[in-house]
Amino acid sequence: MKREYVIVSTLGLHARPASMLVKEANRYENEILIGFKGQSFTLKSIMIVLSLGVSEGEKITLEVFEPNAELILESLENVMREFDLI
Amino acid sequence: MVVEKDLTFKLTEDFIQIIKEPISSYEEAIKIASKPLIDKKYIKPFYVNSMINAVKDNGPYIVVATDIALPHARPINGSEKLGFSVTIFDHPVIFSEEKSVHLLIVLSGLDPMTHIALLKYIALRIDFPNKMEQLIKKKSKKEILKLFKDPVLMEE
Repeated sequence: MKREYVIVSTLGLHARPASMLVKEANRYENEILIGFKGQSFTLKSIMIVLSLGVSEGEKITLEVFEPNAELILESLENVMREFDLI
Repeated sequence: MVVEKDLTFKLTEDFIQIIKEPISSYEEAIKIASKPLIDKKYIKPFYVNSMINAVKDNGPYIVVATDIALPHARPINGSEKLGFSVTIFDHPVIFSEEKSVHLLIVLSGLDPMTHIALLKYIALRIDFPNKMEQLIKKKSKKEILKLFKDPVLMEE
């Protein structure tokens, strides 16, 4: 399951929310990917997520593979909302 | 969108430190690691307290990889110029029971865009565990400079 989001935080996908998002992703055994500018990367590495350099107004996708993809995606969305990323 | 070529800061040996003495706390380590940036007026002294408070308030999220922490605060909290300092500690800097590091890279971004670009720049260069391990062991300013001048194998 894959969804697209626009990052609305003026700080972009900065260190603290990125670390929380990665931490949440690592709670699950599922493959979870972050898509940016047409390429996909694992959401389970903070270094990879920071190396994307996602700024305010840019789009990302999150893709979660089954099982329980929808629930996991919602938990990741909750983290993004908590930090006003989306 | 700020990309790497827009980052005007060039790392020199003035911004690199190797600390041989044991330190008492991560707070002290952040203060020591900030010194080159304060001396050269890249950050105001209160930026240091903002970085320390961010860890106290939010936990050690600045420990981004094995042995590496990236202390930083919001640009409005006393960042004057875009840049960073690199400090290797011979003795571990303890952030929590599970998290201790030997390398602190203090970031000073001028605004959200350059801050994100700086995070990206650093992340692309330090995401090589073996390389970092060697670097920390070698403890040479020249080697550190070389690491940050190396091109990276990732497309913009």
